Amino acid sequence: MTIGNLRASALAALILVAAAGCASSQRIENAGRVADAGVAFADSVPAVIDESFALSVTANSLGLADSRPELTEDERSQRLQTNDALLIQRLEILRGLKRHAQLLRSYFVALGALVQSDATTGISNATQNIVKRLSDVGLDLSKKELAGVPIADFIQPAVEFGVATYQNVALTRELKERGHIIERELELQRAALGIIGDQMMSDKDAQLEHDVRAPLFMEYVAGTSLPGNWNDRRIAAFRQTIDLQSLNAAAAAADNLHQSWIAFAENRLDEGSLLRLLRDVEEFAALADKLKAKN
Amino acid sequence: MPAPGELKSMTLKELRAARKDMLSGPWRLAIKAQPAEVRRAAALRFLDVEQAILELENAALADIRDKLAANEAALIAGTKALAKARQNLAKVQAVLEALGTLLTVAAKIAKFVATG
Repeated sequence: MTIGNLRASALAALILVAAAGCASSQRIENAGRVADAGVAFADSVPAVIDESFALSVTANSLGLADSRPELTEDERSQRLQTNDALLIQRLEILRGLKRHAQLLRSYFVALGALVQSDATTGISNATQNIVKRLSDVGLDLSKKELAGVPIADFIQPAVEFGVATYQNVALTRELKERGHIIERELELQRAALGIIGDQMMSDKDAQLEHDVRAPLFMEYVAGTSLPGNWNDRRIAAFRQTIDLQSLNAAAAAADNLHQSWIAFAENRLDEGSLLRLLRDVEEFAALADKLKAKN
Repeated sequence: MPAPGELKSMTLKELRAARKDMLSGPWRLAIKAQPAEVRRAAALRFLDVEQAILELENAALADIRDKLAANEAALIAGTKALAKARQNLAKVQAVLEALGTLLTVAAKIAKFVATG
């Protein structure tokens, strides 16, 4: 092999290492963004669960309070105890779901820590340091060249490639072993938040019917005259009805996270899907923040 | 014939719609004109509907909670495996840093021997 060929081979190897590193790093970057979305998703779940319970109790109390004048004391006692027992059961179930969301969060944190590791910089600096130290003991690698390319120039891309390959191998192994379990996990989260979203919308709607729409109706139909703010309250009732849809943001985010995970595991997650995922998770996080601020 | 899950979901939807109707203005107006025994029967029926809604929602959520719980061991194992993979990367850095320190000492000794 001539010197020219050797130099060309070394440069080709350097380019190959950089190109392979790019392909790996794209997947690693996607993993990092899915992990971030997963953490933000899991962080938002407890606020929605807490709100769902508050809405359940409120809707239940409305019914108990309205029916109360028609019931005997024994009936009141029996009904209240039965409903309380069901709500305690609900609380236990929701506590289990919240605890589980924390486990899911830990998983995404660990995934993010692996792929967003600063190991490339750390290992690269440590390696450069060793090359420098070796020169201090008489073995000056920093000035050595391999086929005309300084060895020092190989270090950064080689380390990047090595770390990305390691991360990719660890990721592939994890996806192979547990990718389907996480997929199932996210599908169950979607189902749970779908049920919770429907329950929240129904309970909130019942509350609106009782507190806002029914009084508006009764005032119009049976009142002697309409209150001055009747129209304003009517507009507010329509607006609140439209706002009910926002309570389903959790289910939408869970659905998108589930679909994105499948695409990521199959290595076909594109930029558009990632942006949609981040938008849905942001909407969910905004809902959670709004609910937290309210309580 | 719908599957049991679908049947539960359809029943829940109907019960929620019935509850909303029984809270509405037209219902209030209609029930107001009824004799006491009808109002009482309606109140008890409303509480039955509310109770059935809670029971069906609890059953659906408990079912999912149990399925999620069955995933927990695998989820914890996955978290540990990812953390271990991350630690291995950190170990490489630690070994290289230790080697750098060792070489600094070696350089000092070499300089000392040369000047001595």
